[in-house]
Amino acid sequence: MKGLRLSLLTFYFCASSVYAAIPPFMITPRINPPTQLYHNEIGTAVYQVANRSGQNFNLQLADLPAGVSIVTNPGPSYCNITQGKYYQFSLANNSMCLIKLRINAAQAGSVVQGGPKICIDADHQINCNLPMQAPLNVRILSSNLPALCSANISNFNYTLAQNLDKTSEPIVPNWGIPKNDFTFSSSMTSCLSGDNGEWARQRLVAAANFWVQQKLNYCHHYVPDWLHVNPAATEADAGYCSPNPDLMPGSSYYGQRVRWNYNGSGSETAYNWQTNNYMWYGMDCSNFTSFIYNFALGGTDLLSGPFTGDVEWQAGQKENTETSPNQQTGGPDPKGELDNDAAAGRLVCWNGDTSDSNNECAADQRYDTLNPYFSAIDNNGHRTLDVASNLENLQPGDLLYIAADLKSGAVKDSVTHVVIWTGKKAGIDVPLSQVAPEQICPTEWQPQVGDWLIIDSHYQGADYRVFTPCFYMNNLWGVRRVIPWTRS
Amino acid sequence: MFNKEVVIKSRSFHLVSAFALLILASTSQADLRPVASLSLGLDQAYIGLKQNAILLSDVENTYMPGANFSTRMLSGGFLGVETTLAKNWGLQLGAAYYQSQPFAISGQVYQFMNPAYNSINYQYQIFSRRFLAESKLFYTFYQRYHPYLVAGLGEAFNYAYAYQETTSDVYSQTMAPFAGHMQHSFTYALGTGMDIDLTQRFKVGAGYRYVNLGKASLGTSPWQTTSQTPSFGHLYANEFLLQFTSYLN
Repeated sequence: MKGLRLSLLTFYFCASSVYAAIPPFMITPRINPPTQLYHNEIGTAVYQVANRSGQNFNLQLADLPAGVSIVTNPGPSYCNITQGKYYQFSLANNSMCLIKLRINAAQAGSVVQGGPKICIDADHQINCNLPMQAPLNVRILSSNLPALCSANISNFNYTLAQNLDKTSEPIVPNWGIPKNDFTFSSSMTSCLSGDNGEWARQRLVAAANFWVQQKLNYCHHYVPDWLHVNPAATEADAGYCSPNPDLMPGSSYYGQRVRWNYNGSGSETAYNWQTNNYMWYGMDCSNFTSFIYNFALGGTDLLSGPFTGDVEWQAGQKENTETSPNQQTGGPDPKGELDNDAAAGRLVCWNGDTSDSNNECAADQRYDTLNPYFSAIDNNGHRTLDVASNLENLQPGDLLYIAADLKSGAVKDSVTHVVIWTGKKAGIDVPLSQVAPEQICPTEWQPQVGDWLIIDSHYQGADYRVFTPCFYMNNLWGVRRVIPWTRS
Repeated sequence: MFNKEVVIKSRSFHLVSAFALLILASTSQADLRPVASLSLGLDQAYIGLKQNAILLSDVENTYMPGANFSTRMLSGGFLGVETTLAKNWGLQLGAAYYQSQPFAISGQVYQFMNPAYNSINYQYQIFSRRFLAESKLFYTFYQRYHPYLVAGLGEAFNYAYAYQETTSDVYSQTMAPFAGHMQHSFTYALGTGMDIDLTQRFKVGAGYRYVNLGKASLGTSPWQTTSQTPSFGHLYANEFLLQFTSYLN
């Protein structure tokens, strides 16, 4: 599957877009390059190259800036690149693949600028193309990466330099390649101790924010760089990607099949979303949370191993076990009914602490004597508990599980969705313009200053969303906490 | 800019020059009257020809002009003799030289000949000079009006130069420009008009000519691996002239 080539399936989309202003070789950012690197850092950028020239070509990368090289075969959706005088790869007409750039700051000048440039012949640069958006423009700092933990909360260069894909694993049909088990930078290991997990929580939310910025779609995939065009897949199928339209009021794209926050220029056009296949990159809610934890903290003691991407098992439900935390057998002293090896961390109690090693909440942490766990669902299965008054007890990075139908909002016993608690508020920590619309609460999703925000992969992909009563809050099944692993 | 070597080697140029000398020498004949004309006018070249060029193996671009015509000032002169053929009929024979201000060609490059890939604009110029052996057959009525037919043939020297590409898109890269290139080729002109006597010595006239300016092509770009460039197999022009003619004796 190396160097996989995928058809564009242009018949699936609007033919009139053929005459949109596009280049024959469309180079569009999939993971934006960093804006700056310290002298001892390795930066990463991933671009998609699409051949729309009408012919099959062997393409070359021309004029790569000093310090920039190509990572060969980091995953099945990447171009099958060989290196001669130039990096080169073959790409059939109407096909596309990814290229991963490695930016070695120590080998670069004061700035890494321009490209990547794709040519048919790098020595004779006719009909070459450059990125439509976010070309390389990296300032190289003369100093080394500071050891300060605070300076590295949102520094993911070490992780991004690793493969996102676990190339040693077989591809699961439609779902794609499993995610890699990331290692953690030894220079940041000390940041994980001494602050009761505060740095790790901030990093986790920063990791989620990083992927929100990449504007992924919602797809039934394991990793963000798996490209699989599957228009026949339904919402129940592996490989499904959301074809939902933009619901952002006032958007020039309102009602069209294009991501809600595309700006209409560069690579952020309906053409790029649809026909250039950007809508076919993304992850579903629970694979997103599993990936984000692994991306932010993989290889640390906080993660004994990446938890599962199956939402029910990640929540703690098992096969044929669709109860909620407060309904567990044993009431306030459950016996681990919602505890499986693939679950994420521990269930959270009402006062904000995690349950103990016996999966129990202490008496002083309970909502009442019969409802120890943070959940809208009481021990009788009724959604009566007051979540809103206790949100201050949640911690950034907490995983909130929802038990309701994602289309209708109807209550369900099984966990259907998971979101990341950010601890951020709309209009205060995150601009209102960055809060995504969603269709479940058409009138309530619109952010008001001070609304609590979660990040989840839903509707049109990973985004900040308002923690609305109508869906998320009133259907809160339970909360699990990974950071810290043990009770504080 | 002007390639003297090409001029010297031009057989047509020699022919035209010899023809002019022959005419001048013949002015000693009693029935031949030396005559000279100065022409000013407009030269409207048809440049709306789509051109294709293979620049690399399997890479062919189209150069789609943005306008059909380029209109420039035209100037030239004629030196020859005039004779009477029959009652009210006369003939002028001589040598002529014309040049136009450079024609401006501009348009869009269609990469891979696909109109969707039109983000690069191009422009260049063609400077055309012509040496012609020219004859004018005219008729006289009311003693001072002279409608005429004119024909000429000779050599054109067309210099295509100043090729330039521009783009407003961040994703397109312009190529190293095609070099300037001088091309000489056969040219002819056919026209009609009317001269009016101002005095016994001077005439003024207006006329139209259809001119085949011949071939014009750009030189190669250092980046291409072939020899094909944007070119005109035949550059045609409509010329609208005002002529001032004087007898020299």
